[in-house]
Amino acid sequence: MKPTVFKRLKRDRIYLLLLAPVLLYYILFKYVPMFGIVISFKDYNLFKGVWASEWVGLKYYRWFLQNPDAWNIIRNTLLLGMYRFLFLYPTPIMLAVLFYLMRWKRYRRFVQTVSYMPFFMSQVVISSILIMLLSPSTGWINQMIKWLGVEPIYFLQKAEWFRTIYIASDIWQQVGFSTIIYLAALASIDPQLYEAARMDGAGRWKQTIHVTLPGIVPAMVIVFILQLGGILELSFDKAFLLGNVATLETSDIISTYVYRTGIIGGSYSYASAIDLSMAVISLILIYTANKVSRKVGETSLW
Amino acid sequence: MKKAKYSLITCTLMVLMATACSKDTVETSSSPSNSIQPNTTASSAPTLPEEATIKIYTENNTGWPAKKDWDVWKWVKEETNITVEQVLATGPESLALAVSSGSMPDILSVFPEEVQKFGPQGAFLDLSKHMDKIPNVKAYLDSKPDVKARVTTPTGEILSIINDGAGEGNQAVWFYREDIFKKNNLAEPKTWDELYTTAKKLKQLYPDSYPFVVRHGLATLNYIGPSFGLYPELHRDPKDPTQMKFGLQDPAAKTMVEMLNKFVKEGLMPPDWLTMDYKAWTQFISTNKSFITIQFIGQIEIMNNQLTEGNLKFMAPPVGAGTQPYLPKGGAEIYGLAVASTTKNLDASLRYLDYIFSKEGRDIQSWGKEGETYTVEGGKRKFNANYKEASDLRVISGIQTAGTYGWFDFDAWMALVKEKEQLAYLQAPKYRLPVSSDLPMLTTEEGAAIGPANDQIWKYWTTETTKFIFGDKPMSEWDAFVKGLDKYEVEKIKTTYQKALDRQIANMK
Amino acid sequence: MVKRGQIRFFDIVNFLLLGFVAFASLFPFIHMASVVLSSPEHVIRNEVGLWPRGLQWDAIGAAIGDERLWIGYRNTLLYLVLGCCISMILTILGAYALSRKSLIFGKPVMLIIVFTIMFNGGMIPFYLVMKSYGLMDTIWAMVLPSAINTYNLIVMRTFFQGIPVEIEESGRIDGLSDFGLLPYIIIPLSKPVLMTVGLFYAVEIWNSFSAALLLLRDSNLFPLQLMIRNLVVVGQSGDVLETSVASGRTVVLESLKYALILLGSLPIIMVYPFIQKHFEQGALLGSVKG
Repeated sequence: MKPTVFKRLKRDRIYLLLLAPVLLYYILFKYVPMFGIVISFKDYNLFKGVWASEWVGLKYYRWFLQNPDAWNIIRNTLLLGMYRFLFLYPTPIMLAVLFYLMRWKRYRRFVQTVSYMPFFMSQVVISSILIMLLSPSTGWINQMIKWLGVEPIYFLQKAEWFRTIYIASDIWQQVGFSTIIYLAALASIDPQLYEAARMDGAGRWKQTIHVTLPGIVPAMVIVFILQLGGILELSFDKAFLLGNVATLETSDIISTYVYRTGIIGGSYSYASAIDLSMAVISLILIYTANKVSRKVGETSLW
Repeated sequence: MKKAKYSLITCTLMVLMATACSKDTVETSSSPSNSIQPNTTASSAPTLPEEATIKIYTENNTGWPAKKDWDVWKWVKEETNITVEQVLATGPESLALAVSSGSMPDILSVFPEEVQKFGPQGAFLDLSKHMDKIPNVKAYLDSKPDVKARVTTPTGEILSIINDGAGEGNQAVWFYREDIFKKNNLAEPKTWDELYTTAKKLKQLYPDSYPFVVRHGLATLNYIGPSFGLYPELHRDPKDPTQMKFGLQDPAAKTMVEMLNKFVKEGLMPPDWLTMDYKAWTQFISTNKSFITIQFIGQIEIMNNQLTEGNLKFMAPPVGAGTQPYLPKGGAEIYGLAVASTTKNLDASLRYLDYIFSKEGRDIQSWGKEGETYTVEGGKRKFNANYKEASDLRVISGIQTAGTYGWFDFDAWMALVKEKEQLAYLQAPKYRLPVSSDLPMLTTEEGAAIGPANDQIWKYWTTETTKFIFGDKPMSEWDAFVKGLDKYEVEKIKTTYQKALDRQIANMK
Repeated sequence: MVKRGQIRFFDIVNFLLLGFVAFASLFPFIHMASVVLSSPEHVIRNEVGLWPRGLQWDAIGAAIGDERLWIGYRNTLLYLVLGCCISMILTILGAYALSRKSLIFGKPVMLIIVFTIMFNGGMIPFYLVMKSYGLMDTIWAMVLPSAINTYNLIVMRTFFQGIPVEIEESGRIDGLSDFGLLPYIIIPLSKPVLMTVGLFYAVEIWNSFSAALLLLRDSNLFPLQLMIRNLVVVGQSGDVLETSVASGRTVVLESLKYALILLGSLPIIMVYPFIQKHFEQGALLGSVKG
């Protein structure tokens, strides 16, 4: 029989007390500023303020959807986000397992440390180094290609290369850093489990499959759900710096579009309407992922 | 696009800063006892207006970090009895934050886009209603009808005044390697056909080279377009400045694109010029891989300082279409000053504006004061020895920095530019196209109505033109491309701006 | 854990793969360091690859000689210490409470929290609200608005949930209360995740400058990354090769920029090896058995 609400409140009072400052934080710093969402339904006049601005209903949502380019832009964003997720989600797990299987401990630590470094470079620097490397006239990569006897490729000017370059540079920058959470998960595995597995005669591979991987599953699930929710959050800087007029077909995504049209009057309202639409899509994604993971496994966000 | 504009402006300023070089005429200023007296006594003697303090919002440039004790502020205090507190922008959104917070500084340096955005919302004071208090500003505007047209809104208000006088560095020019040309007996190309043959010859002589190089990607069309009598997008027709014209619809645009296509195909331009940044451009110029280029005027001197041998020299623009050689119409400044509509120091703010546009104010804010910053020798002004190059004016005294002047006397700047490098500044104005690519101001409604179409047409023409230039599409399809512009409502956009232009012309009368 | 002498071929492949990862990761830093230490003419001609040419120390000297950099270091260090303490306390409390599967209102609270990942009111409303709290130009502006990172909270909660119930039960038998479990059982058993989340917060605070852009006007409060951004931004917006620095000398902008970026990231990079120790296998051995 389920205890009554009152009884449960009493039972959980310590936890609720501990939770109180956290909730206060969320109210003060996340929910109070959220009133700003209303500007997507208004003609936001910065000078007069949010409340004095005029209501315009769904005007800016219609604006976006009536733009014939909107679908292309949404498609580009979704595709780039999905490919990025497909590659950026598994690579840190694979790297973590490689680290784990590396026998030479000092080498492993060295690689771990340096793989974490690119995370600290700004997009601007990463992009400028990439542009330098990929140049068809002076870039090292093309000089290598030429040396192999193949025609140089103008990577940055070919729409079909944009996603590859974008995602590759993201992996380059983030894979080492994203591995950390799995390393922590690996370190949290109860060593007795390995002992038990060894006693059952399990070799290295069997141990990896039966102990190591199951040990990091909860972390994998959580990262999966959160990353899926963030699929539409693509770095504006990178798309702006690596894209150009020749690759608009694939490189024009929501953030670059919002940036470009920011000159139009009422830009804050327009940008906010697009943001909110994207947030709704993200919410649906995260909600579905959570539902599936709750059904299939034990881990879920709520 | 917005970013491009900002960077263009900063670029201009940087260029100006960097154009400076040490002037060899250094004289000692250690005995100025006789020259100081007349000026200081003269300016402090008349009764000063009542004391006031105003806040001026400006950019914060790390090249010349703002200082409280800059001479320019001291002079303002001496002349007008106004103490200026400089409020510095901390990021690209600073102005938006200031507007939304309800506590704007009294005077703000603003870009036209910002005026267009926040003006209709009521953030700035309509100066046209206060002209009686700012006679010097009024006289200035009356003497410059084109400036007045630029700052008058569709509803007849004047919400900001664009700075003037220091925009000379904002000029793209052609320049070439004089030594290489001389060595190989090559003449300056007068037309694009000659440019092509000259580049061909250079390519034969230096097979590793890409004789012609540019730095601004597709935006370069804005700089080479004028030699074909156009800018790529919408602008006023140079032949009839009362009419709007979409550049790519001009047959000469086809010639231009064809030319560029030939240059790319035959290796006369680097294959990646579309994505080349400044670093790559520098590399090509400084390693003798390129000999002809179009860039901002100050880059001639910057690169000359880097070349171990040889030198770069200004070149007249080659003629692409018609008979006249043209450069873009540069030389104008692209940002100005506005007064906050909420200011509590209205009188002092207007007094400040009027001062910087007055004859004396203009002179003092550009040159400083005799004895303090310069001496007069043989009727010519000479800056003190501590100003070694023009950018020192900014760093040391704050001269020619945002917010400190309205109408700058460019002679002050030129006084510190090396004589050899002055040529380009003297030549460039002769070749300017009669019209700039600035568009007349739209009302908020007009802007909103064509906003999405504007973005689409931009995407269309940039993507397609790139394909033609880089050979992904044959030139035989050009006419179809031009027709395609109609699908993207080019006429609607043109008519909207034509209406705005008509209104502007009517307002000027 | 891992037996010796099996699958040699895989070990070689693994060695090479990790070697490639190491090279790709180090490459930009070696390149940047080379540019910093090369003489101007080589930098401008873009002749510097993975080794300095025409060795000189001007750029690094100019960067170190700029006192704004040191003010930035001082401020960032302060924000780091203060921010990590506040963030960790709040996150641990929240994660602990929310890790109870049967917690009353647990689900709606989680939903409320997850909701904030996707929805926000935008920059200007955020600025106006923070201003009304009186955070402008205070050190709290750099600490409070970002005190809890929802992602970190969820990660920590997941790890707390993974602690076997039996251990908690044994704690309760030893007389620990709901609150007592936290310091005596949960925290000692969660060192790897505490280290990880602590590192995430430290990195976040170290890298952040957008809050400073909005909420700080007083340059004496600017964090390191904002100082660096201000110092190098001049090169991103205009075509300049050289720039004059505090000491009045001119240095190649690119070298100065890279010098500042290296100086601005090395300290936080150095932190990682110390934390790594706790990721080694068996670090928990003693505590689990005890």
